[in-house]
Amino acid sequence: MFSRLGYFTALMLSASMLQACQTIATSATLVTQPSNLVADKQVSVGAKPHGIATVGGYVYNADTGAAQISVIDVRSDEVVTRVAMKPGGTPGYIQAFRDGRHALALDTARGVLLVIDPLVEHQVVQEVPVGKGPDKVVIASNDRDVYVSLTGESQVVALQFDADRSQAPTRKSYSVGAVAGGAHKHRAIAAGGSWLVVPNSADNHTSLINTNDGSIRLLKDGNDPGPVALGQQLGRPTVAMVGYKTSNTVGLFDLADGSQTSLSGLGQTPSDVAVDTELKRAFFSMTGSNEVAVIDYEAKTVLGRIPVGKRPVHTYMAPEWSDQAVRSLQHVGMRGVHEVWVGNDDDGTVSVIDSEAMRVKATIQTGAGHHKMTFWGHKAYVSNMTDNTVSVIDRAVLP
Amino acid sequence: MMGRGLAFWALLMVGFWFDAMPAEACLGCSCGGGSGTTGDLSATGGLAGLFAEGQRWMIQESLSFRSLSGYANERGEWFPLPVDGQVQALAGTLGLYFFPRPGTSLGIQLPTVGQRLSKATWGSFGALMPTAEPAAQMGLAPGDVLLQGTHVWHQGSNWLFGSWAGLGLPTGYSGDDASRLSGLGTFSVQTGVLALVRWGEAEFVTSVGGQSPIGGAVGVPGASYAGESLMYQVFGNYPLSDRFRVGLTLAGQTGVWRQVAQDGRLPSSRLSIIPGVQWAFGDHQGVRVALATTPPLGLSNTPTDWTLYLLGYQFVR
Repeated sequence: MFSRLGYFTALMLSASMLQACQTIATSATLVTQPSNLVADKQVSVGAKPHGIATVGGYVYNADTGAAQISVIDVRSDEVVTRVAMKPGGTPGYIQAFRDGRHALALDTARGVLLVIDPLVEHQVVQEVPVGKGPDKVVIASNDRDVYVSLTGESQVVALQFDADRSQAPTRKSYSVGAVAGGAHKHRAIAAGGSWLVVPNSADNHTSLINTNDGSIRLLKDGNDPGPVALGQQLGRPTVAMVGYKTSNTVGLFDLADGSQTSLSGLGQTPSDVAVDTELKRAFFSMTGSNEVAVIDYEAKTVLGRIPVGKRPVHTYMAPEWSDQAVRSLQHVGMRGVHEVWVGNDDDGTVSVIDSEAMRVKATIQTGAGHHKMTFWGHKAYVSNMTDNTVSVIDRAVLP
Repeated sequence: MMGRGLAFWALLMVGFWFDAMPAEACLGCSCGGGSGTTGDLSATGGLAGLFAEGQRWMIQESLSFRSLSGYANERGEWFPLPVDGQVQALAGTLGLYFFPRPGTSLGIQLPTVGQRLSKATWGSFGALMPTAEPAAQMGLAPGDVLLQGTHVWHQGSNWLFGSWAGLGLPTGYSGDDASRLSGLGTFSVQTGVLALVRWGEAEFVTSVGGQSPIGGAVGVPGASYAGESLMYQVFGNYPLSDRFRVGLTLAGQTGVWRQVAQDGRLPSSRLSIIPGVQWAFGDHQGVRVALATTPPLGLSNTPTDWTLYLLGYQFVR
């Protein structure tokens, strides 16, 4: 009887494996000996700092537990003022326009998007209703199109601002699936060219939206889609990438021919992704195995796994730094820059990965708790959710 | 005899009244003391004798400690628990069975589940995920009550053939507190057949059945719960003496996961190996100790684990 059961289960296993598309696995693990550094300064902010971005020489940090946004002057690295949310409001993700003139901050409780002008005493110059449970906001490369993912509704919102953001943006929405989870729902979103990628964890699929014609394709591969990204070649999106949190796989969906490839052997629980478009590599944080998995999205192969700190979650492709102001470009790489920053939420560190050599070149002690990051010039700013601080790191001292 | 039995049960019932497993943890079968069905009666050993008399009661109390070791995804690829993670459950069930006449039983199982989640939590489809919670999460909740019945249709000197059926009530917790998950979130039905063959002193029992939820589950959108499943159990036991019996059970399940608020279905399968020993204090009472292991072999969307069971039974007229 046992042998029959074994045969039966083996048959089931084979069948499930046949269901997968092309499967490429690797077990390469890259061992590194990074420099151990300490953040240069800890800036005290309000309770539970989370979303963070840099605009016009200021770091905006969402103090989710204090209903305010702390404003840090990058010249002094001191909090110079605070932007109070309206009653009942809670700040969430913050992003900055590339022209450095405005920042966007989500009020997750009230379901509005705030447009903040750093040059006019950090005033909120517009409030744009977006819907229930706004989670992530992405600004397209044209600096006009803005996309907001919602967790309380089965849609994403597309806004189009004018050049100086003096008028209310036009609003459009796309129907997507639902989001799983209880009190702490999250929904990622990736935007590039005319494409949007939106995971629908409750429905176990991902919406691939073509904003040119409004068509929507449902991508299905593994279970529990979470992090999403768009790989680019020559500045044009070519592949949609989806991390499946319970399958521990990444699905690559070719935008040109519709083919899909499943990658395994990545570690456990893909949670976030940063893309180096020059190297055509995607870096997925694998929270369950304390690694970062590196994927060549052009060759559709796994290049390796990089051990990092404990419980890595958010990853950032750091922008090229210089004396002139540059802004945080989360999830988007810049030519000539090969640094991926990874927040390790359980050991109060960030890992800095040389994305070309695929090794950790520095581990930097910050504060405790969940981390988000932004960059300005030669500085990196890391929010520490448990410590109620923002760590300031001088990137010039990195090896 | 009766006094000693009552003292035993008084002792055994103090402090624990647990069993069943969370909906996201595993399917409704194979989680507690065996298949989770009336077929479990076979696990007491001496099944032929179990149905030999009418007009008597049996109280069955089980306590189990379960430790999760990892999970297999839909491709059968196995993954250990997230780094530094622990998922453990202390569960127990009070079972009360009435035998109105020889060959027939009616029963009720009242489970309770306590869990401890540290640096890990339940994901969808039997997966175990890392969690941002800095401290271990502990929860306690009643499980789904199971009503059940068994009837022996035919019986010979060395064999019997019967069937069983059960109705699961959604009394367990199926909300968004992962440490308290203890129920499917919907009614469920179970039914199957069992057969026994006695060969010398040894007993061999086979039970095959199915389980299905009734309607869609109520719970957190996107959460998964046990869907339609085929359950099978092969059990053998052999008496080493008048009071001491050893046994081995293979309990498996092949079916699907379903998700709250959508029609999607995903495959699920598992197989547990359960060696055990049973010691009878007398003709009417005894205890059984078993160690169940779900190895990372041939699984699909299923956690792996080991579970230590302590089960006691007492017949009362």
